[in-house]
Amino acid sequence: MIKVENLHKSFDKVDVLKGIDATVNQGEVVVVIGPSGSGKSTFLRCLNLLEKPQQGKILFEGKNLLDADTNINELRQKMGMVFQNFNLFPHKNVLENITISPTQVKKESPEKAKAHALELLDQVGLSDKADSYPSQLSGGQKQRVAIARALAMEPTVMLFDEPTSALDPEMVGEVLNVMKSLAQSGMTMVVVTHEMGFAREVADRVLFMADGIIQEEGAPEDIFTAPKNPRTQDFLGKVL
Amino acid sequence: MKHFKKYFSILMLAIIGMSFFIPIKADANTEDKIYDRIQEDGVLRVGLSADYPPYEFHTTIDGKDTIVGIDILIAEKIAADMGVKLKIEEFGFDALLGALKTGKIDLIISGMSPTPERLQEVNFSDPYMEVKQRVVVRKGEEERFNSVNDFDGIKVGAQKQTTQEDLAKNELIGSQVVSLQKFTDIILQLQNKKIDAAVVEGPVAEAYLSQTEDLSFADNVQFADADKQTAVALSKEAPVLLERINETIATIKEENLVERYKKEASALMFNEESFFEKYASYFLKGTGFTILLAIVGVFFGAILGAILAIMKISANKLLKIIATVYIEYVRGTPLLVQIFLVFFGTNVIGLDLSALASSLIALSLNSAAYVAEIVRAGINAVDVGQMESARSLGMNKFQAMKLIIMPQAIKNILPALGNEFVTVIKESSVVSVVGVSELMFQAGVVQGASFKPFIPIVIASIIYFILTFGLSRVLGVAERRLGAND
Repeated sequence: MIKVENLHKSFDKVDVLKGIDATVNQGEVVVVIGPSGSGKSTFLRCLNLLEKPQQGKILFEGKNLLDADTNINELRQKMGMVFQNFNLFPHKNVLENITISPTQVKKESPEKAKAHALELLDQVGLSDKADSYPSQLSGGQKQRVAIARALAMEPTVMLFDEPTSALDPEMVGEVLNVMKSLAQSGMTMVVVTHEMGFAREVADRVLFMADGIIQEEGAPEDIFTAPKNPRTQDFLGKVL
Repeated sequence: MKHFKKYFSILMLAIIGMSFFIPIKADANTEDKIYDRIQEDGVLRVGLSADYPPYEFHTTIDGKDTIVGIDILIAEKIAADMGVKLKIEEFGFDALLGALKTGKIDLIISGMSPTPERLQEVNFSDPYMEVKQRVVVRKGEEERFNSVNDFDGIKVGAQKQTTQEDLAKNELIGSQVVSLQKFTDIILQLQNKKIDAAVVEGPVAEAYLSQTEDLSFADNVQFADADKQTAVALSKEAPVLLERINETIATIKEENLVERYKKEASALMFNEESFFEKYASYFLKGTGFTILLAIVGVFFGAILGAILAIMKISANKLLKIIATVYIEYVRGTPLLVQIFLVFFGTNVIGLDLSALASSLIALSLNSAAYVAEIVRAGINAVDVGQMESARSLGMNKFQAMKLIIMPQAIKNILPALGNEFVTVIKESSVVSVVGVSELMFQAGVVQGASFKPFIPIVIASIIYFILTFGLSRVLGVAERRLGAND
């Protein structure tokens, strides 16, 4: 579904991605782990072109996102993104946060968008917060609304950029649970995270990134129990 | 020899032939577009600086603000003799020559004397009045000044760009000349001991001294070149107009009309109404114009400023450069200069805008640069994550700006925009130089008409303070309301 070839990205001469090759298959949950500064967030943000890579190919549903004639706005509708800092719209209430893009971008009728939004809120366990404003929610609630907001566009793949890193520890669980049930429903997901437990339990495949390249990839049991690359061994030795 | 004769006669013929053309050319010189236009429109536009009684000053006649004085009566006579209507245009004295040269007015009749410098720029009619220049000092200090040699190191006031300024510089030996914009400023500074003497035109000084107790003439000081002539200034390209004016002035002299005009003007100068009865309407009108200037200035400034801000943050390099250059240039030059640029500049490109229209444009253009920075800062203060999440939901840049960024930026922008409004209220006082009758201008008018140089300034300052302080309070309340929604 997503195929990345030889992806390079640098910021002001600092090379962050030094040639990434990766594939994400339909229905697969790919978890990206690695030390801070390894380029894993940049890699994820390149997938929907929030960062523009200098070199390489990103094939999504057969089209290269880096081609000049690709309509990126259309493709982004199919790729939901969840951010570390939630990025809810503070001037809109929860319901409006979820319906604004379906009504404005996909031109769905307000009634349909609202009904869908309420369904999604039920799915993330926040039916009672439809009329609240983001400032009235806890971090875990905000992130669940952000997931519902991304799902409202009915994406075919969901990108998660360290979705639990900004949360208080007691709220991590509620967000991971929502993500787990999403994975069980068959959603294709790419997750950048430090939650090794989640990676182990939910991932179909784990990518270990360091120094701007993918050092090792494989099934979670292989990576976590028998890492081959010394960088992976070193990293897992520190975090586990 | 024969040949020579032949050539000679041909040469003579040629010279004779040419001499036929020369008078024809001279005839073409008497062509006068300005005069033709006056006749065509039926309006003669006369510019003056109406803070100079008894020549020209404001007074209330039948409850209506009117400009009166000797020069007005002369202007009326000229217009009547030409069979056209008279239109008086007010300017600061400094701006008069510029207004004449750019064709905003046809004549200057403002107690102006022909000087060599002025004669390089414009033409003057025959003089209609001869006046003495006199030295004014504080009462009790007359003894100090007995001749032109007693001014070493003394600060002497005179109106900027006037005959009096030249006299003070050239004849009062060793004096430090303080050049001031308005005559009333000179009186005020003299009373407050900022200066110790002033050179003032005879009729003007006489009028003021009859109203103030604390000033006196130093008549022992005699100028060598004290008698100055007052004449009408007009364009160098208006020979017919000059002729017609000189005819009228000849009549005025023959019939000794100036003496009659002086009496008429003096009678208007001193009537018995109380200060507030007489001048409240001036301050009200001025306040109205000040508020109008500020509202229009900020309104159009906000629209233009928002466009500039968007240009500045856009990805297009050219738009970015245009906006940046504009903003930096406008913020880096004084508003006063910009007002003159718009006022006279529009004439250069063939647009005849009124002083009010020019001022509104200048204020809007000026405010736009400041608003642009306010808007840009307001947009930049919105977290970049907002744009990213909007774009990641499939919105294009415009949708993200409109639906997500701007509504949040507005909350940052509005309070700063309120402050800009307060600033424009204060800054708008500058447009008084081109004769827009806003608060500061009206204060000047009252200074001239009331012979009270200080009180009108105090009143103007109080009105400005009420406006700005009141507005700040209102904005504070609005800001708290807005904040309460978060």
